[in-house]
Amino acid sequence: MAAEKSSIKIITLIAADGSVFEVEPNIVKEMKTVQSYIDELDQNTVSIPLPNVFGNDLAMIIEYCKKHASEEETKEAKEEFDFEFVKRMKSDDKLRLLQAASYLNMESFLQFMAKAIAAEIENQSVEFVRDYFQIESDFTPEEEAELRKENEWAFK
Amino acid sequence: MMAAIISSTDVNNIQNHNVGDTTYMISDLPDHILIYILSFLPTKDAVRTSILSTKWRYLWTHLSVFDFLIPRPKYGKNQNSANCLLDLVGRLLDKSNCIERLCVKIFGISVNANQVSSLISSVAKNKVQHLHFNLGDVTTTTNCVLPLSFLAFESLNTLDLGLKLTLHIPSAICFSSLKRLVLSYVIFENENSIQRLLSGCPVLEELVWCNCHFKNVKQINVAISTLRTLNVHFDSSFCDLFDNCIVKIDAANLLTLRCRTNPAIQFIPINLTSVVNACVDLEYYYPQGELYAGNCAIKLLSGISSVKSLQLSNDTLECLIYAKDTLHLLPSFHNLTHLTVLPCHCDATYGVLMDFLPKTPILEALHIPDVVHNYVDGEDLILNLVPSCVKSSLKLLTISYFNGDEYEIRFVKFFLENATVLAEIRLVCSRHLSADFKKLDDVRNQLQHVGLISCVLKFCNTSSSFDDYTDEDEFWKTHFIIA
Repeated sequence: MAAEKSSIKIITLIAADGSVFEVEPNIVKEMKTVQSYIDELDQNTVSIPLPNVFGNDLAMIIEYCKKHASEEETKEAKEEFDFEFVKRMKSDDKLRLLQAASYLNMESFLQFMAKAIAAEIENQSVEFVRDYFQIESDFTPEEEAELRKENEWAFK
Repeated sequence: MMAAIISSTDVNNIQNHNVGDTTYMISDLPDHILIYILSFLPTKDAVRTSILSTKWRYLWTHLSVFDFLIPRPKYGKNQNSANCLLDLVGRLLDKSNCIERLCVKIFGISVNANQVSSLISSVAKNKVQHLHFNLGDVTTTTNCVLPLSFLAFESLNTLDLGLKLTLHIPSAICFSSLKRLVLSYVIFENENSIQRLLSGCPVLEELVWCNCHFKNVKQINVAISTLRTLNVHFDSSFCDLFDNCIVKIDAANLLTLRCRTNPAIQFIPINLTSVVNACVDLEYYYPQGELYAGNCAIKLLSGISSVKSLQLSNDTLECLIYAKDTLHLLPSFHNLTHLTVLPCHCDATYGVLMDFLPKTPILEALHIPDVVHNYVDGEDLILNLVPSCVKSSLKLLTISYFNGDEYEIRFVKFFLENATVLAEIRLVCSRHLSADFKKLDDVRNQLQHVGLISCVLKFCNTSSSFDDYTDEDEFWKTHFIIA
């Protein structure tokens, strides 16, 4: 079994929109969902459909994985990369990537995205956070006022 | 934590999953992911999400770490805000069963003792591991009987209580996992109460007593073999509140001991041969006088002669003067490599430092706040009185206040001439000396060609603050003005 697995050279990932990505096995190690799929197959070439992840997002995730799987990159270079990576994303990109990370079961990438989102909503108004997550309040004004009073400590 | 959040995905799901629309409904993010995001926010931000929508209302209560704080108000006191927060914490405790760490700190506002009591009861029902209650100004000093459910609090790892409440400790108390116990301002009615608490902590590693109120307590035995750190800190105003109290310390595995009190608390070391770091600051203004304080200091120091690093307050050194007749009882500190003298509250006129140094044969680093006039009297400067550590082991001397006066220069010269392995002297210049370049130049000239050529002399401005640097060596690398 071990010999068969190591013989896999290229893994093909197919995104929801049909775009195809060919990656080396070490890149998908972080994607536990994909890895467990590979582990259960006895084939040398693997093609995996990922119907819950869009091509653009998958491209970004692969870019992240490549950078972090690299042994040549220094810790500082990876941190610099992370910083720039978050900077070029819009808020809904982050939320989509977070969801993809959850679906692909990527522990460290999920944490990375969750922290980036938390940093954006920290110290922001209720209205800002509602907007950020596209939430429509279903409280009546009276209910909301009551809650504000109950949790007064948090609104000062 | 993550393991619980991400459920393992069935491989088949990959293929069976339905993409549906091309746009994600972000508000459909599953609860466990949203809670995971909240876990990276300060508690205040997390609680605020309760009014986003009904779906979000209780999400924050599923978190496991909470920090509630009301800082000391700048002006006025809003009594209501403290009550409101305690209500909020109470509701959280009723609702949640996954709190690992709960920290409630309210400064400058009195809180109701009954409310605190009932919170402690609720906490006990949860499996909290780290509990911090800092409520310095509890209004009434009503008795707070620890609730029954608190008695066997198996999950508790850290307990930090800062509240002016009388704790009644029943005999059945058992904190079987408690590693760290910090008690500030807590009132103990009697000796039994304290002893019961201590014997109820069989695996305790760190014990901190800060300004506790010991009523009718004559003696406390701290006999805990697992204890690594003991920190007893009492401001003098607190020591006035009770009669003399003896603290016997029997802790064979203790590594760090800090005693900062006045000698109203007298420490009797029983088995402290493993202590590596110690800080001793016994104030000597005390009704029973300096001789008593000096003897207390000698008794304590005698028990910790194994230390490698020792901080001694100037006050403590001062009171040793009065015990000069018994100073020979002090054993040799045969492991001591680092000695720091902490600045004192008064103007020092005497110095017993030079009498102490013969007790430290392998001292490598000496840090003193300032030079005292008679550290080295002219007559004493003969070689046979030079302590052996100065001759053979001292590598670093730091003086935190240096004004460039004649007696200070004489002191530094003494070291330059006699310390054969001294590698570096660090002098923090007074404001006056820092501003006076001519004097500074003069001082440097006087010291430059004395004794050892290999010793580096570093001067630094008072204005550059140590506080910004965690590592003192790092500070000296960047801030000296003349090398």
